[in-house]
Amino acid sequence: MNNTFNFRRFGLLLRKTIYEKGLVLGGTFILVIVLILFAYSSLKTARQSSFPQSMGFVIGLFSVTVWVNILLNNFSKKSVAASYLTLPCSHFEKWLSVFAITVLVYLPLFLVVFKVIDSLFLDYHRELAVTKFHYSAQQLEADFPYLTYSFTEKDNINRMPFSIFLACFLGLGGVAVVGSLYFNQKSYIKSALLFLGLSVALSFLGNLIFGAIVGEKTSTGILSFTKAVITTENTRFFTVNASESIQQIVKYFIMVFIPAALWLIGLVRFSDKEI
Amino acid sequence: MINIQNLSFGYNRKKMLYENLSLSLEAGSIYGLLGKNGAGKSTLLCNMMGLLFPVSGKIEVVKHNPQKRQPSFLQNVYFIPEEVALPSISIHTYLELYAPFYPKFNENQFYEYLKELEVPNDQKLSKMSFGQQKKAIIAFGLACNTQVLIMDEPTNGLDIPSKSQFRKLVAAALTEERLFIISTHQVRDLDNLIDQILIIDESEVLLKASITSINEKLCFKTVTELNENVLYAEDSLKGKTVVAANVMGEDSKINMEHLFNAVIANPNRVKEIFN
Repeated sequence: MNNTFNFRRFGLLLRKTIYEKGLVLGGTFILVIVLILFAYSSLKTARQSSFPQSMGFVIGLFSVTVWVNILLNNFSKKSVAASYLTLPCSHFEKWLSVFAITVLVYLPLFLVVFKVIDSLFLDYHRELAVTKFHYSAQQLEADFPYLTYSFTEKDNINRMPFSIFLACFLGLGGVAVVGSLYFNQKSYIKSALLFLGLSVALSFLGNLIFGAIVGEKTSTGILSFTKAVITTENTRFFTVNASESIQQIVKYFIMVFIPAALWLIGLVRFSDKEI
Repeated sequence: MINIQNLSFGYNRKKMLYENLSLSLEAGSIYGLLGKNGAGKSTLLCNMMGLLFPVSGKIEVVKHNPQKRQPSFLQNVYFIPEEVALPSISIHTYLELYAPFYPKFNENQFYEYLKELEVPNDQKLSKMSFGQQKKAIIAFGLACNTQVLIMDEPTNGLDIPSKSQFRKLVAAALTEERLFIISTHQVRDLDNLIDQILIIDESEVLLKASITSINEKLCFKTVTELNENVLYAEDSLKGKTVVAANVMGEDSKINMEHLFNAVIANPNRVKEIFN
């Protein structure tokens, strides 16, 4: 018998998980849709698509942590934990079921629904902008860019490239996996607090170290490890960027290594988990 | 079938619950695991199931290390915890989702057990009373036909007719290849059911003996005067009910409660008698 992976066992586990948790997961997804629709309703007055699109990204990132938490909320009660841990499936299969449902099912589903909502609202408002407010083609593209444009346009700082969204999605999902497996009680709140605390501490530490090296007041911004703003005594600002190779290393470390490490820690933690 | 060698376990490294506990349990028997509240019965069972990991020592259950929780191990053991938490699904759906994980599961047996235990099979599990839930999970556990079935306080929450039905079903389900462990502090619930008794207290096994050997070595009777063979005495209407060393080879019916009290009160005398 293969004790690591078996298609039949994995299929049974997926079926069981979706059957038992499908209703709650579905409810959460409906809430996500409602929140995105609510954000897009701001187009009526704001007539700019950057706000609802940014909100949609934030909602998407936030919701992955909720999905993971629902899938792994098996450890707050010992009886539920015992039933889950003694279910005849491997640690890898249990871990993979969480990964598959969040990354292979939820992510595409979210993106498709987000894109459909975006297209419906923007089609309507773009037409309105042309017919009623006589927007030029240039102004229309500037104020009402479609989601696909926001995802692919790298130079516009108000947009979020898909690679960054994916890295954040996987990273936050990984934080939720590790948090759910380390904390039995109130895992969601504890993981969120720990994540925020670590982020702030890292930023503070970054400023402190950089300030000590440069000897001036510096500001690096939260989780920005490739550039720093130096403020001298006569309040002049200098922006210092790391070399391109360092920027690449930092980029891959944050976007690839950290999310992958978090998901792998989750896999290891499955085998260490006790009730 | 279950071998424990020099097991040490503690929730706190400074205060160990077990130190160098060794135990061997064979197939074809129903073991009654008795102990006071907090003696560590559930902890020992969780160690056998791989839900808690020993600090040191070795546990082998059906030739597997439980700590690895491999599917080949988990489909051969079934654990009924003291508190059961069942999903909000019907018994039929539960069967559809969970039974395929256990290759030897017998559906006919399951419905037969449900009928015997008078569990309605048209309700959602979460809507059932605690006792009904417990009976449903006992029926499921028995029908899994696993080599090892571990039950932690299975009679808690069961009404009087269900307790006797439980004893009947468990006794009938035992085969030469299976091993059942029933932990309880309600010793009377195991009357006429178990054929091996394990009494643990203060992190050690005070008694591990078969019912036959207990009958040979101890006698349970009512006397008017106490002598040096008496291990435990309790006032009764007709005199004193005692547990005494069976020096005369008398036949008597084991009183579980008195046996338990005798072992707890005189562990060293009992060890001398049985070694």
